[in-house]
Amino acid sequence: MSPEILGLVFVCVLSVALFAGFPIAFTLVIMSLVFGYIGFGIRVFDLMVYQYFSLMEDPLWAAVPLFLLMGLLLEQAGLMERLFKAFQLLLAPVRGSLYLAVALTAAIFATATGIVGASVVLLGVMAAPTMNKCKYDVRMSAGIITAGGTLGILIPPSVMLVVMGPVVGVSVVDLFAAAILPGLLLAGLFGGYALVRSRIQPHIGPALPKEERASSFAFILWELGRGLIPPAGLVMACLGSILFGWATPTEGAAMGAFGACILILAYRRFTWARFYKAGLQTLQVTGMVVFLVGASNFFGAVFSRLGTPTMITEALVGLGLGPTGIILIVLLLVFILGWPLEWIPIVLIVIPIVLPVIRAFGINLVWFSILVAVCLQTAWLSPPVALASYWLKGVVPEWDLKDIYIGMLEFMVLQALGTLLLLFFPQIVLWLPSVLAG
Amino acid sequence: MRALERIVKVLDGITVWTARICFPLVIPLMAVLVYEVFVRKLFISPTIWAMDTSYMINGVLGMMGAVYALYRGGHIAIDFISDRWSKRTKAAVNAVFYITCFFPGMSIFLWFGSKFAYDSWLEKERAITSAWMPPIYPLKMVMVVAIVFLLLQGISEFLKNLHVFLRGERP
Repeated sequence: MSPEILGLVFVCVLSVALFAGFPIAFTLVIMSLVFGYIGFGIRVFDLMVYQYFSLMEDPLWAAVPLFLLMGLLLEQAGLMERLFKAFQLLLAPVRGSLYLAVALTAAIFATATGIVGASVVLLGVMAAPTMNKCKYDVRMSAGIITAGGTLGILIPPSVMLVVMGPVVGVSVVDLFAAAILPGLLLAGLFGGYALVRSRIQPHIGPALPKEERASSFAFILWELGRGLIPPAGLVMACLGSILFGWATPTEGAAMGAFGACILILAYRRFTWARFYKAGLQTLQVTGMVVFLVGASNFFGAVFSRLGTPTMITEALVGLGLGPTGIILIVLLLVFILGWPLEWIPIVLIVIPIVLPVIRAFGINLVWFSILVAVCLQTAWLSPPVALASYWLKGVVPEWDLKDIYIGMLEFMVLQALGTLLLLFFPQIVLWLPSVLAG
Repeated sequence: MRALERIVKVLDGITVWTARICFPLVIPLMAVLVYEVFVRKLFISPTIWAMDTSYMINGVLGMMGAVYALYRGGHIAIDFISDRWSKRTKAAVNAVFYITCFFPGMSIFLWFGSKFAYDSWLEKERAITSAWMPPIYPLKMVMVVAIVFLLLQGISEFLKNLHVFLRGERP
C-alpha cells in the first residue's frame, strides 16, 4: 500500500472511531501513532513529543487561558445587564425594540469577550421575561438570542480565531482585524431582519408598553453612558491594543483579563467563590484546548507526511473547478459537519485536511479563514449538537425546544446570506486589515 | 469493589489537588504580561523575561489542565450517537477505548517524553529563542510529570467505567 492510500485509510478509520464518543484528543494520538508508525517508522514517536512541546513553547497559546478568564469574569461583572437595560430604554418606542436591543448588546459584548457560552444564557435571562410579557414571537426571540449570543465566537477577541490562526498559518492580528466588519454585518443582518419582520407583522414585536419606558431622555443618556463606557474602555485595552500593534494578542488578552478584574472589583461583584470557579473553569478549558491542539497538530504532521493531502489536492485541481467552486464545496462541508460537530474538531481536523487545496488555488488565507469562521458560527445553532439551544432552554424552560430550533433555522438562513456576501465581496473582510497594516 | 472505590477516590483527590495548586498561576501569567506592556509602552524599557515566563506558565496550565479536564469530562468527544446507548454499553465502549487508545498512547508519550526531557536535563539545555536564555529542561519535565498525572487520572476514569459496566452505576 502506498503511503498516500494509507493516509486515506487513516482518515476513514479515524472518522469511524471518533464517533464512538471517546475524547477526540486521545483517539487522534493513538491513531496517528499507529498509522505514522506503519507509514514512516519510529520517527513518529519523537514527532509526537516535539509537536506537544512546541505548543508549550509558543507564547501565543497563553492567550487562551487569559481570554477565557476575561470572559468568565465578565459574565459575573453584570456588564451585559447594564448595557441591555440601557438599549431597552432607548429603543422602547420602536417596534421590535427588544430584538434590536438583543442584537446590539450581543454585538458590543462580543467585542469585549472571546467566548460564547455566557452570552446566550445572559441574554436569555435578561430579555426573555420582557419578551414573554410583551407577547414577542417565541421563534424570533429564540433565534435572535441564540444567533446574537454566538457572535462572541466570531467578533474579536475570539478564542476560535486564536486557535485558527496557527492552524491556517496566518497572523491572529490579521484575523482579528478581518473579523470585525463581517461580525458587525451579521449583527446588522440579524437586527435588520427582526425590524423588518416587526414592521410587516406588528404582532410579533410590538413597541414596549408605557410602564417599560423611561421617564426622561436624560435618564436614558445616563444609563447609556453607564452601560457603554466600561465595555468601551475594555475594548480599547484589549482589542484596541492588539489592533494598533501596541501589544501581541497574548498581551492584549492579559490586558483584557486585567480590565475584567478591575471591572468586577469596581462593581463589587468579586467573591472568592466566583474567582475559584472561574479559575478552575479556565484551567479545564485551557487543558482541553491545548491537549486537543497538540493531538491535531500531530495528526496533521503525520497526515501530510504520508502525502495524502498532495494527492487530494491534485485530484481536486484536476476536477477543473475554479477557486469559488472549491471554496463553496469546503464551506458546504464545514456547514454540514457543523450539525454533528462543534467548532473545535472542525477547525483542528477538517481545516488542515482541506488547507493544501486552498493553498494550491492561491486563495487568500485570511479571507478563507473568516469565511470558515462565519460558517462555523452556524455549528452552535444546528441540531443535534446545537449548544446554544440547550443553554437557552436551560434558562427559559417555558419556550418549546421545537420553536427554538425553528427560530435558529431562520437565522441560519441569514448567516448563509452573510457568508455569500463575504464570498462575493471579499473587501468586507480584507479592507480593515489592509488599512491597519498601513 | 471496595478497593476499586478507594483507588478512584484517591486518584480523583490527587487530580483535584493538582488543579487547586495550578489554576492560580493564571494570575502571575496576567501580571507578567500586563507589566511588560506597561513598561514597554510607558517607559520604553521592555523586559527580557516576560515572553519566556508567559509560555512557561501556560505550558503548566495547558498540560495540567488536560488532567483536570479528564477528571471533569471536559475533553471534547463526538457523543451525539453514544448518547443514545444505554449507560452500560457506553461504559463498556469507553473502557475498551481506555485500554486500546488511552493507555498505549499516553504510555508511549510518557516513554519518549521522558527520554526527551532526560536528554535535555543532561546537557542543562537553555532556550535559544530569547536573549534571556532561561533553562528549558524544567518545562520538558513538566510535560512528563503532567503525563504521569494524566495516566493516573486515566486509571481512575477506566475504573469508573468498569464499575458502571459491572454494577450499572458510578462508584
